[in-house]
Amino acid sequence: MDTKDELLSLLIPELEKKGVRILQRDMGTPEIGGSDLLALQEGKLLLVGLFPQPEEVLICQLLNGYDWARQNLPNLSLLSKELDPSQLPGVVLVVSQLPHRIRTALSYLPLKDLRIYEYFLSDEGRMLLKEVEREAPSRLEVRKWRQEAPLSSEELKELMDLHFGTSQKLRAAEVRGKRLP
Amino acid sequence: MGRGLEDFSHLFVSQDAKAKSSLARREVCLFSPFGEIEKPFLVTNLALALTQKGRRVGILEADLQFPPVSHLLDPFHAQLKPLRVLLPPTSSLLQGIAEMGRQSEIVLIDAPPFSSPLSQIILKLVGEAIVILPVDLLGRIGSYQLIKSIHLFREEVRIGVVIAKVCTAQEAKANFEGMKAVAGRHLKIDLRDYGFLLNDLHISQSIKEGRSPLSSIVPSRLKRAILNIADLILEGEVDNNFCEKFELALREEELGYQG
Repeated sequence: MDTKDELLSLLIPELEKKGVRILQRDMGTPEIGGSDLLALQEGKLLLVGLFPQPEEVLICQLLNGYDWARQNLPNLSLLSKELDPSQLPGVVLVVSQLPHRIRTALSYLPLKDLRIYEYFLSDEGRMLLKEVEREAPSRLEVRKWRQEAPLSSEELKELMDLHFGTSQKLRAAEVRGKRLP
Repeated sequence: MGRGLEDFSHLFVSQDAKAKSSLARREVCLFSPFGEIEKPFLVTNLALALTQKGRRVGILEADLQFPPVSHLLDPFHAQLKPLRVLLPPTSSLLQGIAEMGRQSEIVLIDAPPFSSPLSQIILKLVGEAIVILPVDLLGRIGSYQLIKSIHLFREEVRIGVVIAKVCTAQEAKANFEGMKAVAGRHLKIDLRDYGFLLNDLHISQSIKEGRSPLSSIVPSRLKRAILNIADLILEGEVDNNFCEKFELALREEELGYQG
Protein backbone atom coordinates (compact mmCIF):
# COMPACT_ATOMS: atom_id res chain seq x y z
CA MET A 1 0.00 0.00 0.00
CA ASP A 2 1.56 3.33 -0.99
CA THR A 3 1.26 6.64 0.86
CA LYS A 4 -1.78 7.82 -1.09
CA ASP A 5 -3.70 4.58 -0.57
CA GLU A 6 -2.83 4.63 3.11
CA LEU A 7 -3.96 8.23 3.31
CA LEU A 8 -7.23 7.46 1.58
CA SER A 9 -7.88 4.56 3.94
CA LEU A 10 -7.50 6.99 6.81
CA LEU A 11 -9.25 9.91 5.25
CA ILE A 12 -12.40 8.26 3.95
CA PRO A 13 -13.58 6.95 7.37
CA GLU A 14 -12.69 10.34 8.88
CA LEU A 15 -14.83 12.13 6.30
CA GLU A 16 -17.63 9.59 6.53
CA LYS A 17 -17.84 10.23 10.26
CA LYS A 18 -18.71 13.82 9.36
CA GLY A 19 -21.50 12.81 6.99
CA VAL A 20 -19.45 12.96 3.81
CA ARG A 21 -20.26 10.47 1.09
CA ILE A 22 -17.67 9.61 -1.56
CA LEU A 23 -19.08 10.07 -5.05
CA GLN A 24 -16.13 9.09 -7.17
CA ARG A 25 -12.51 8.02 -6.70
CA ASP A 26 -9.56 8.65 -9.03
CA MET A 27 -11.15 11.39 -11.03
CA GLY A 28 -7.85 11.85 -12.82
CA THR A 29 -8.44 15.53 -13.40
CA PRO A 30 -4.96 16.86 -14.17
CA GLU A 31 -5.79 20.23 -12.65
CA ILE A 32 -5.97 19.11 -9.08
CA GLY A 33 -3.45 16.30 -9.01
CA GLY A 34 -3.65 12.63 -9.88
CA SER A 35 -5.47 11.09 -6.94
CA ASP A 36 -8.45 13.07 -5.82
CA LEU A 37 -11.96 12.37 -4.76
CA LEU A 38 -15.32 13.86 -5.39
CA ALA A 39 -17.50 13.76 -2.33
CA LEU A 40 -20.85 15.04 -1.17
CA GLN A 41 -21.89 16.60 2.11
CA GLU A 42 -25.39 17.94 2.68
CA GLY A 43 -25.89 18.57 -1.02
CA LYS A 44 -22.56 20.30 -1.40
CA LEU A 45 -19.87 19.01 -3.72
CA LEU A 46 -16.52 18.45 -2.01
CA LEU A 47 -13.30 18.36 -3.95
CA VAL A 48 -10.65 16.32 -2.15
CA GLY A 49 -6.99 16.76 -3.13
CA LEU A 50 -4.05 14.77 -1.79
CA PHE A 51 -0.70 16.50 -1.69
CA PRO A 52 1.86 14.33 0.09
CA GLN A 53 4.61 16.86 -0.62
CA PRO A 54 3.00 20.28 -0.76
CA GLU A 55 4.70 22.92 -2.86
CA GLU A 56 3.60 26.38 -3.81
CA VAL A 57 2.15 25.11 -7.10
CA LEU A 58 -0.54 23.53 -4.91
CA ILE A 59 -2.34 26.87 -4.80
CA CYS A 60 -2.63 27.04 -8.60
CA GLN A 61 -3.71 23.43 -8.79
CA LEU A 62 -6.28 24.06 -6.09
CA LEU A 63 -7.73 27.07 -7.90
CA ASN A 64 -7.74 25.27 -11.26
CA GLY A 65 -9.51 22.31 -9.70
CA TYR A 66 -12.03 24.58 -8.00
CA ASP A 67 -12.67 26.38 -11.27
CA TRP A 68 -13.15 23.05 -13.04
CA ALA A 69 -15.63 21.91 -10.38
CA ARG A 70 -17.59 25.17 -10.51
CA GLN A 71 -17.78 25.15 -14.30
CA ASN A 72 -18.96 21.55 -14.32
CA LEU A 73 -21.37 21.67 -11.39
CA PRO A 74 -24.50 21.16 -13.58
CA ASN A 75 -22.92 18.09 -15.21
CA LEU A 76 -21.56 16.76 -11.93
CA SER A 77 -25.01 16.98 -10.41
CA LEU A 78 -25.89 14.03 -12.67
CA LEU A 79 -23.64 11.89 -10.45
CA SER A 80 -26.07 12.18 -7.57
CA LYS A 81 -29.55 13.54 -7.18
CA GLU A 82 -28.60 14.91 -3.79
CA LEU A 83 -26.01 17.25 -5.29
CA ASP A 84 -27.29 20.81 -5.26
CA PRO A 85 -25.64 22.72 -8.14
CA SER A 86 -26.58 26.06 -6.57
CA GLN A 87 -24.18 25.43 -3.65
CA LEU A 88 -20.56 26.41 -4.14
CA PRO A 89 -18.15 23.48 -3.92
CA GLY A 90 -16.01 22.92 -0.84
CA VAL A 91 -12.36 21.85 -0.91
CA VAL A 92 -10.56 19.37 1.32
CA LEU A 93 -6.76 19.39 1.19
CA VAL A 94 -4.72 16.58 2.65
CA VAL A 95 -1.07 17.46 3.06
CA SER A 96 1.95 16.51 5.08
CA GLN A 97 3.58 19.31 7.10
CA LEU A 98 2.20 22.34 5.36
CA PRO A 99 4.93 25.01 5.14
CA HIS A 100 4.10 28.30 6.84
CA ARG A 101 4.31 30.19 3.55
CA ILE A 102 1.70 28.03 1.83
CA ARG A 103 -0.50 28.04 4.89
CA THR A 104 -0.41 31.83 5.00
CA ALA A 105 -1.13 32.03 1.26
CA LEU A 106 -4.08 29.65 1.64
CA SER A 107 -5.52 31.82 4.38
CA TYR A 108 -5.88 34.63 1.84
CA LEU A 109 -7.99 32.58 -0.58
CA PRO A 110 -11.63 33.67 -0.52
CA LEU A 111 -12.88 30.07 -0.51
CA LYS A 112 -15.67 29.76 2.00
CA ASP A 113 -15.25 26.05 2.65
CA LEU A 114 -11.60 25.03 2.63
CA ARG A 115 -10.60 22.29 5.06
CA ILE A 116 -7.00 21.28 5.56
CA TYR A 117 -5.91 17.94 6.98
CA GLU A 118 -2.31 17.29 7.91
CA TYR A 119 -1.03 13.78 8.28
CA PHE A 120 1.96 12.66 10.27
CA LEU A 121 3.53 9.51 11.59
CA SER A 122 3.03 8.60 15.23
CA ASP A 123 5.86 7.29 17.40
CA GLU A 124 4.68 3.78 16.60
CA GLY A 125 4.95 4.49 12.89
CA ARG A 126 1.19 4.78 12.34
CA MET A 127 -0.15 7.40 10.01
CA LEU A 128 -2.39 9.91 11.77
CA LEU A 129 -4.64 12.57 10.33
CA LYS A 130 -5.43 15.90 11.95
CA GLU A 131 -7.63 18.78 10.79
CA VAL A 132 -5.74 22.07 11.11
CA GLU A 133 -6.83 25.66 11.44
CA ARG A 134 -6.85 27.46 8.15
CA GLU A 135 -5.51 30.69 9.62
CA ALA A 136 -1.75 30.64 10.00
CA PRO A 137 -0.66 31.65 13.48
CA SER A 138 1.45 34.76 13.71
CA ARG A 139 5.07 33.78 14.22
CA LEU A 140 6.41 36.85 15.88
CA GLU A 141 4.89 38.75 18.68
CA VAL A 142 5.24 42.44 18.13
CA ARG A 143 6.06 44.48 21.14
CA LYS A 144 3.97 47.53 21.71
CA TRP A 145 6.83 49.85 22.41
CA ARG A 146 4.70 52.84 23.20
CA GLN A 147 3.11 50.89 26.01
CA GLU A 148 6.32 49.26 27.13
CA ALA A 149 8.38 52.41 27.33
CA PRO A 150 5.98 55.01 28.70
CA LEU A 151 7.42 58.36 29.65
CA SER A 152 7.29 59.48 33.25
CA SER A 153 5.79 62.86 34.02
CA GLU A 154 9.29 64.18 34.87
CA GLU A 155 10.67 63.08 31.51
CA LEU A 156 7.74 64.66 29.74
CA LYS A 157 8.10 67.89 31.69
CA GLU A 158 11.81 68.10 30.92
CA LEU A 159 11.16 67.51 27.24
CA MET A 160 8.54 70.24 27.24
CA ASP A 161 10.94 72.58 29.03
CA LEU A 162 13.63 71.70 26.55
CA HIS A 163 11.31 72.44 23.69
CA PHE A 164 9.99 75.75 24.94
CA GLY A 165 13.30 76.70 26.49
CA THR A 166 15.73 76.17 23.63
CA SER A 167 14.31 76.11 20.14
CA GLN A 168 11.61 78.63 20.78
CA LYS A 169 13.92 81.11 22.52
CA LEU A 170 16.62 80.70 19.90
CA ARG A 171 14.14 81.16 17.09
CA ALA A 172 12.56 84.18 18.76
CA ALA A 173 16.01 85.70 19.23
CA GLU A 174 16.78 85.09 15.60
CA VAL A 175 13.53 86.70 14.51
CA ARG A 176 14.27 89.77 16.65
CA GLY A 177 17.67 90.02 14.97
CA LYS A 178 19.68 89.33 18.10
CA ARG A 179 23.06 87.67 17.77
CA LEU A 180 22.97 84.09 18.88
CA PRO A 181 25.47 82.99 21.49
CA MET B 1 3.29 32.59 -4.10
CA GLY B 2 5.56 34.33 -1.65
CA ARG B 3 8.64 33.74 -3.76
CA GLY B 4 8.02 36.76 -5.95
CA LEU B 5 9.30 39.01 -3.22
CA GLU B 6 12.87 38.00 -3.93
CA ASP B 7 12.76 40.11 -7.07
CA PHE B 8 13.45 43.06 -4.83
CA SER B 9 16.80 41.74 -3.86
CA HIS B 10 19.74 43.57 -5.22
CA LEU B 11 23.15 43.96 -3.84
CA PHE B 12 24.56 47.38 -3.57
CA VAL B 13 28.28 47.80 -3.33
CA SER B 14 30.01 50.88 -4.63
CA GLN B 15 32.17 49.79 -7.51
CA ASP B 16 34.69 52.58 -7.72
CA ALA B 17 35.80 52.58 -4.12
CA LYS B 18 39.16 51.13 -3.34
CA ALA B 19 39.33 47.96 -1.36
CA LYS B 20 40.49 48.66 2.17
CA SER B 21 40.55 45.30 3.84
CA SER B 22 42.37 46.63 6.90
CA LEU B 23 39.40 48.82 7.86
CA ALA B 24 37.01 47.70 10.51
CA ARG B 25 33.53 46.66 9.41
CA ARG B 26 30.58 48.34 10.98
CA GLU B 27 26.95 49.15 10.56
CA VAL B 28 24.82 52.14 11.35
CA CYS B 29 21.10 51.75 11.81
CA LEU B 30 18.90 54.82 11.29
CA PHE B 31 15.61 55.20 13.11
CA SER B 32 13.06 57.96 13.09
CA PRO B 33 10.08 58.34 15.41
CA PHE B 34 7.31 58.95 12.89
CA GLY B 35 8.81 57.88 9.55
CA GLU B 36 10.28 61.28 8.82
CA ILE B 37 11.39 62.00 5.27
CA GLU B 38 14.87 62.80 6.60
CA LYS B 39 15.61 59.14 7.32
CA PRO B 40 15.60 57.69 3.79
CA PHE B 41 17.12 60.95 2.58
CA LEU B 42 19.95 60.59 5.04
CA VAL B 43 20.51 56.88 4.35
CA THR B 44 20.85 57.57 0.64
CA ASN B 45 23.02 60.63 0.95
CA LEU B 46 25.24 59.19 3.65
CA ALA B 47 25.87 56.22 1.37
CA LEU B 48 26.90 58.60 -1.37
CA ALA B 49 29.02 60.73 0.98
CA LEU B 50 30.81 57.71 2.43
CA THR B 51 31.36 56.32 -1.07
CA GLN B 52 32.88 59.65 -2.08
CA LYS B 53 35.18 59.29 0.90
CA GLY B 54 36.42 55.99 -0.51
CA ARG B 55 34.45 53.59 1.67
CA ARG B 56 32.64 50.57 0.37
CA VAL B 57 29.08 50.99 1.55
CA GLY B 58 26.08 48.66 1.59
CA ILE B 59 22.47 49.70 2.17
CA LEU B 60 19.90 47.48 3.80
CA GLU B 61 16.45 48.88 3.12
CA ALA B 62 14.17 47.46 5.78
CA ASP B 63 11.56 50.22 5.90
CA LEU B 64 8.89 50.07 3.24
CA GLN B 65 7.44 53.47 4.00
CA PHE B 66 7.47 56.04 1.26
CA PRO B 67 9.84 57.05 -0.19
CA PRO B 68 11.97 53.96 -0.59
CA VAL B 69 15.68 54.59 -0.55
CA SER B 70 16.05 53.23 -4.05
CA HIS B 71 13.81 56.02 -5.41
CA LEU B 72 16.16 58.64 -4.06
CA LEU B 73 19.20 57.39 -5.87
CA ASP B 74 19.60 59.36 -9.06
CA PRO B 75 20.77 57.83 -12.33
CA PHE B 76 24.31 59.07 -11.67
CA HIS B 77 24.54 56.50 -8.92
CA ALA B 78 23.01 53.58 -10.73
CA GLN B 79 25.57 51.29 -9.13
CA LEU B 80 24.04 51.99 -5.70
CA LYS B 81 21.38 49.38 -5.29
CA PRO B 82 19.94 48.88 -1.83
CA LEU B 83 19.11 45.41 -0.64
CA ARG B 84 15.49 45.35 0.41
CA VAL B 85 14.83 43.19 3.44
CA LEU B 86 11.47 41.49 3.86
CA LEU B 87 10.19 38.69 6.05
CA PRO B 88 10.14 35.78 5.50
CA PRO B 89 13.60 35.98 3.95
CA THR B 90 14.22 34.52 0.52
CA SER B 91 17.37 32.63 -0.44
CA SER B 92 18.50 35.43 -2.76
CA LEU B 93 18.11 37.94 0.07
CA LEU B 94 20.26 35.80 2.35
CA GLN B 95 22.87 35.49 -0.38
CA GLY B 96 22.76 39.25 -0.89
CA ILE B 97 23.33 39.94 2.80
CA ALA B 98 26.25 37.50 2.92
CA GLU B 99 27.76 39.13 -0.15
CA MET B 100 27.25 42.59 1.34
CA GLY B 101 29.00 41.46 4.52
CA ARG B 102 32.02 40.35 2.51
CA GLN B 103 32.25 43.45 0.36
CA SER B 104 31.13 46.41 2.45
CA GLU B 105 33.02 48.29 5.10
CA ILE B 106 30.00 50.20 6.29
CA VAL B 107 26.42 48.98 6.13
CA LEU B 108 23.69 51.59 6.47
CA ILE B 109 20.36 50.25 7.63
CA ASP B 110 17.12 52.07 6.95
CA ALA B 111 15.32 50.67 9.98
CA PRO B 112 11.57 50.01 9.99
CA PRO B 113 9.39 51.32 12.84
CA PHE B 114 10.53 50.02 16.21
CA SER B 115 7.41 47.93 16.71
CA SER B 116 8.02 45.78 13.62
CA PRO B 117 9.48 42.28 14.09
CA LEU B 118 12.25 43.04 11.61
CA SER B 119 13.33 46.08 13.59
CA GLN B 120 13.66 43.96 16.69
CA ILE B 121 15.76 41.35 14.88
CA ILE B 122 18.04 44.14 13.66
CA LEU B 123 18.29 45.71 17.10
CA LYS B 124 19.41 42.43 18.64
CA LEU B 125 22.48 42.49 16.40
CA VAL B 126 23.27 46.07 15.64
CA GLY B 127 26.04 47.92 17.47
CA GLU B 128 24.97 51.46 16.80
CA ALA B 129 21.67 53.22 16.24
CA ILE B 130 21.14 56.78 15.07
CA VAL B 131 17.83 58.39 15.88
CA ILE B 132 16.59 61.31 13.80
CA LEU B 133 15.39 63.95 16.23
CA PRO B 134 13.08 66.56 14.72
CA VAL B 135 12.87 69.57 17.02
CA ASP B 136 9.11 70.05 16.91
CA LEU B 137 7.42 69.06 20.15
CA LEU B 138 5.94 65.77 18.98
CA GLY B 139 9.12 64.79 17.17
CA ARG B 140 11.14 65.51 20.27
CA ILE B 141 8.90 63.40 22.51
CA GLY B 142 8.71 60.62 19.89
CA SER B 143 12.50 60.56 19.48
CA TYR B 144 13.07 60.40 23.20
CA GLN B 145 10.58 57.57 23.48
CA LEU B 146 12.38 55.78 20.66
CA ILE B 147 15.73 56.26 22.38
CA LYS B 148 14.25 54.91 25.59
CA SER B 149 12.70 51.93 23.82
CA ILE B 150 15.95 51.03 22.07
CA HIS B 151 17.86 51.35 25.32
CA LEU B 152 15.36 49.22 27.24
CA PHE B 153 15.31 46.65 24.44
CA ARG B 154 19.08 46.26 24.40
CA GLU B 155 21.37 48.32 26.57
CA GLU B 156 24.51 47.51 24.54
CA VAL B 157 23.35 49.53 21.51
CA ARG B 158 25.21 52.82 21.28
CA ILE B 159 22.68 55.52 20.51
CA GLY B 160 23.36 58.75 18.69
CA VAL B 161 21.12 61.47 17.34
CA VAL B 162 20.95 63.62 14.25
CA ILE B 163 19.03 66.78 15.04
CA ALA B 164 16.61 67.60 12.22
CA LYS B 165 14.46 70.55 11.18
CA VAL B 166 16.65 73.15 12.88
CA CYS B 167 17.39 76.64 11.53
CA THR B 168 20.93 77.13 12.76
CA ALA B 169 23.92 75.13 13.97
CA GLN B 170 23.55 76.80 17.39
CA GLU B 171 19.98 75.62 17.66
CA ALA B 172 21.09 72.09 16.80
CA LYS B 173 23.84 72.25 19.41
CA ALA B 174 21.50 73.54 22.12
CA ASN B 175 18.94 70.85 21.29
CA PHE B 176 21.52 68.10 21.36
CA GLU B 177 22.91 69.24 24.71
CA GLY B 178 19.39 69.42 26.14
CA MET B 179 18.45 65.95 24.92
CA LYS B 180 21.77 64.53 26.06
CA ALA B 181 21.14 65.91 29.55
CA VAL B 182 17.61 64.44 29.73
CA ALA B 183 18.78 61.04 28.43
CA GLY B 184 21.76 61.07 30.77
CA ARG B 185 19.60 61.87 33.79
CA HIS B 186 16.76 59.44 33.18
CA LEU B 187 18.26 56.65 31.08
CA LYS B 188 21.93 56.90 32.17
CA ILE B 189 23.14 56.86 28.60
CA ASP B 190 25.68 58.98 26.84
CA LEU B 191 24.08 60.14 23.60
CA ARG B 192 26.45 60.63 20.67
CA ASP B 193 26.24 63.71 18.52
CA TYR B 194 25.92 62.92 14.82
CA GLY B 195 25.39 66.44 13.60
CA PHE B 196 22.23 68.00 12.22
CA LEU B 197 20.06 68.55 9.18
CA LEU B 198 18.61 71.99 8.60
CA ASN B 199 14.95 72.61 7.98
CA ASP B 200 15.80 72.87 4.34
CA LEU B 201 13.44 72.95 1.39
CA HIS B 202 16.20 71.34 -0.62
CA ILE B 203 15.54 68.05 1.17
CA SER B 204 12.01 67.71 -0.17
CA GLN B 205 13.12 69.14 -3.51
CA SER B 206 15.92 66.59 -3.71
CA ILE B 207 13.49 63.77 -2.96
CA LYS B 208 10.99 65.07 -5.49
CA GLU B 209 13.62 65.29 -8.20
CA GLY B 210 15.38 62.07 -7.18
CA ARG B 211 18.71 63.88 -7.17
CA SER B 212 21.16 64.04 -4.34
CA PRO B 213 22.56 67.42 -3.27
CA LEU B 214 25.95 65.70 -3.27
CA SER B 215 25.70 65.33 -7.06
CA SER B 216 25.75 69.10 -7.43
CA ILE B 217 29.05 70.95 -7.63
CA VAL B 218 27.47 74.00 -6.01
CA PRO B 219 28.38 74.18 -2.31
CA SER B 220 25.38 74.27 -0.03
CA ARG B 221 24.60 74.14 3.68
CA LEU B 222 22.76 70.87 3.16
CA LYS B 223 25.73 69.29 1.42
CA ARG B 224 28.04 70.46 4.23
CA ALA B 225 25.69 69.05 6.85
CA ILE B 226 25.57 65.61 5.17
CA LEU B 227 29.36 65.45 4.80
CA ASN B 228 29.69 66.46 8.45
CA ILE B 229 27.43 63.58 9.55
CA ALA B 230 29.47 61.20 7.36
CA ASP B 231 32.68 62.43 9.04
CA LEU B 232 31.17 61.93 12.49
CA ILE B 233 30.16 58.39 11.54
CA LEU B 234 33.67 57.64 10.33
CA GLU B 235 35.14 58.85 13.62
CA GLY B 236 33.72 55.94 15.57
CA GLU B 237 35.06 52.77 13.95
CA VAL B 238 33.68 49.65 15.60
CA ASP B 239 34.29 46.16 14.31
CA ASN B 240 30.99 44.34 14.27
CA ASN B 241 30.28 41.73 11.67
CA PHE B 242 26.62 42.59 11.40
CA CYS B 243 25.79 41.03 8.04
CA GLU B 244 27.05 37.61 9.07
CA LYS B 245 24.96 37.70 12.25
CA PHE B 246 21.96 39.12 10.43
CA GLU B 247 22.09 36.40 7.80
CA LEU B 248 22.15 33.73 10.52
CA ALA B 249 19.26 35.36 12.37
CA LEU B 250 17.18 35.52 9.19
CA ARG B 251 18.00 31.90 8.40
CA GLU B 252 16.64 30.97 11.82
CA GLU B 253 13.54 33.03 11.04
CA GLU B 254 13.14 31.23 7.74
CA LEU B 255 13.35 27.88 9.50
CA GLY B 256 10.71 29.11 11.91
CA TYR B 257 8.42 30.00 9.05
CA GLN B 258 8.89 26.65 7.42
CA GLY B 259 8.31 24.73 10.62
